[in-house]
Amino acid sequence: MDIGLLTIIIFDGLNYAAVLFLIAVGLTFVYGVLRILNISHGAIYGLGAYMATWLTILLLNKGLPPYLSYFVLLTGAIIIGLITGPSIERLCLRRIYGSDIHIQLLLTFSILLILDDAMKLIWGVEPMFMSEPYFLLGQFSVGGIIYPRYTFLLIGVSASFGVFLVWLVRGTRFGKLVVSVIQDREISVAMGINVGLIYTAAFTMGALSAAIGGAFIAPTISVAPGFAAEVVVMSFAVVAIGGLGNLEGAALGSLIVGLARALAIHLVAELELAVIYLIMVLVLAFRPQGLFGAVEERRI
Amino acid sequence: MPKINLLPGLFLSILAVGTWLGAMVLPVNAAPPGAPAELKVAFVDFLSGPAAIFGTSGRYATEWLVDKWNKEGGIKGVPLKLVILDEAGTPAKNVTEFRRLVMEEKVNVVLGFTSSANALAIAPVAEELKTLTLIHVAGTNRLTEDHKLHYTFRTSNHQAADSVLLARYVLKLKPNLKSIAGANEDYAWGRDSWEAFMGAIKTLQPGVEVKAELWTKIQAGEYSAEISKLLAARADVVHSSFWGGGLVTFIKQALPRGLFKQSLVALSTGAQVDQFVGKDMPDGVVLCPRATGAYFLDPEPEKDPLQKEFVEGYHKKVGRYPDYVSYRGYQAIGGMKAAYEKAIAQTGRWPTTEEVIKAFKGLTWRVPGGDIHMRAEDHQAIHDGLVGITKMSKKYGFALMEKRERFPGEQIMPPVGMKTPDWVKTLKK
Repeated sequence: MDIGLLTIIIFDGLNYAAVLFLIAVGLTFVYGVLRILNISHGAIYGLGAYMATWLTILLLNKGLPPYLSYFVLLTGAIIIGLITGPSIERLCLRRIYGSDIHIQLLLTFSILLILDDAMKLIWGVEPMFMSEPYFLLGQFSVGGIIYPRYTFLLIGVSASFGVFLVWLVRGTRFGKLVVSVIQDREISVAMGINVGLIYTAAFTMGALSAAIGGAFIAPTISVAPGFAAEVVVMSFAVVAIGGLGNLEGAALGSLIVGLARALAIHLVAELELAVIYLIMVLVLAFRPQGLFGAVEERRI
Repeated sequence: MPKINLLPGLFLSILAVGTWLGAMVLPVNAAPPGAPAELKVAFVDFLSGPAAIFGTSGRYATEWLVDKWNKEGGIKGVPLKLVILDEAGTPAKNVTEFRRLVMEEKVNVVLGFTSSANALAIAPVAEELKTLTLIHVAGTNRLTEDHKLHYTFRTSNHQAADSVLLARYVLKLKPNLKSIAGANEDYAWGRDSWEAFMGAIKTLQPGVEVKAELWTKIQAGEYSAEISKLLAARADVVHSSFWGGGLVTFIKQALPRGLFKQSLVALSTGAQVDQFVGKDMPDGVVLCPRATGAYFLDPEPEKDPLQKEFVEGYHKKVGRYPDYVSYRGYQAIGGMKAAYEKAIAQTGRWPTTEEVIKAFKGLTWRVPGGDIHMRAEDHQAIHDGLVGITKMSKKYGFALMEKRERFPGEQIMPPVGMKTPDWVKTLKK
């Protein structure tokens, strides 16, 4: 394989990995702290994309300088993250901590369906398009292949959010509190930690990651109800490969899936879809907890 | 003086006056004997999800026509009642909904289905439930080539027409074509479209090299690696049967990367999204309204009253110009109405489903853009197909399909009894 093709594969892989990581990292973070597999994550991703698109179109039509559209994307995502995160955690999830996993899955799946319909009610069923932020930054060439510079922005946003989360968990007092709550909730309560607040904050971080993912993907796609399904399913494959609840696992899982897909497209196009699930099956067969997942002790 | 019996004369006079009065009072469209209070027609198409830009177009056209016809007296005095349903979901879900429509909602006719996977799943159930079912958009040739259909009809050309039409057109634009590449979705529609396009090109221009064949999930939404591969392949022509929101995303992602400058890109459903893509659609892209015989500017509305009425009425209702899905919606429900009317004329009463089917076989009916002919043997409609190349229009604010060419149905559709893969091998320039 020549260097040019290898560079292209790496770049395509990184591009897709960035998209997947933005979604998977929130999913895995929420599971790590709350021990809840949040199926509604995909709907928050969709809401982020809708809000960002709608807000950007609105403000661009009102004469907003196009370069400010990136801040508008971020603002749209933050609005969605701050609304959905606390409200879902406080109103719904709080009632089912410690419940059977089936209840958790059913509840978060119900939230997904409700939010999906809410999107249709608010923005209708016809797709929305907005591409100014995508085209604005121009292009560059790798191995003779042209890429939009927006790809860098996507990778940058994704990596920054990952680094931010790692810093938040490992380098701040909040992170120490989160870790203590993960280790032992009852002792944490006894030590005076506001566990409820930690849960709300952690879930909101997860919601923010999904919304930011949606908002920054939006300029590259047509935003329509149900558009999130494909990439969200893929992000579940990512966390299964990396290990649920592990930030490094999400990063590695995203890279593996992104690169494997790019490799397949360029070398054996027929295997584009199969290769990702093949990797997942292999990982789960030999390491059911995922590459970075810790083996859980049997309680009894 | 003989006694004159006035009674017969009186009786005849009363009868004559009565008939005359009856003719004056009763509407012209008096329902034929045995007519139901209404004809219940289900319309099933994507109303949510990335394919909604398809479904809503077909729905608007169908609603517009039903409103218009009901104001004019329906079908011989019987009003039509539409039951609208979302096609989004799996084939299994659509089969369940189809059964519910027939058995619980008691619809008389089911019309619709954009997804080939759904159409293939529905046809056997339509046969089992003995329900007249008209497939309006779904393109896989397998529907009418691999199945013996009785209750199911497809009221438009299948994908072979799109692919062969595109092949003939790109060879006109690039007579020295050396290489092709394809990016299509990994299911019946995408696979069949590419096979037919590639087969037609190879037959019409032997020696053409295939540089890349890419397969994505339906409405994948992320095509960066595929676009890189297409750019690296540097093929003269890139073919894609992507559709709906997925196609818009592909165009958006490919545009800044120069794919449209490097290769002649041919999009079999492209004419459907040009109004949505707006100013982002580049010039010089081959667009095909899926081998449909009408485009909102062709035939010219001023020269075709049916076209003028539809384009103006649709634009007033929707705020957009009709696209090929709208025209195919028109073809389907227009065909249904024509078949019922023919069956009524043949029987002198409201027809049974079997009588409508008999009338549908070999029927030719008029729509904006020309005649549609339903082949009796395989229940496959055949009609003209249009193709053209994009040119941005300041007047409309989106790219128009210019340099249009109209191909007769016989040139772009396989004859009865011949399967598409075999037929494309027999094509002649």
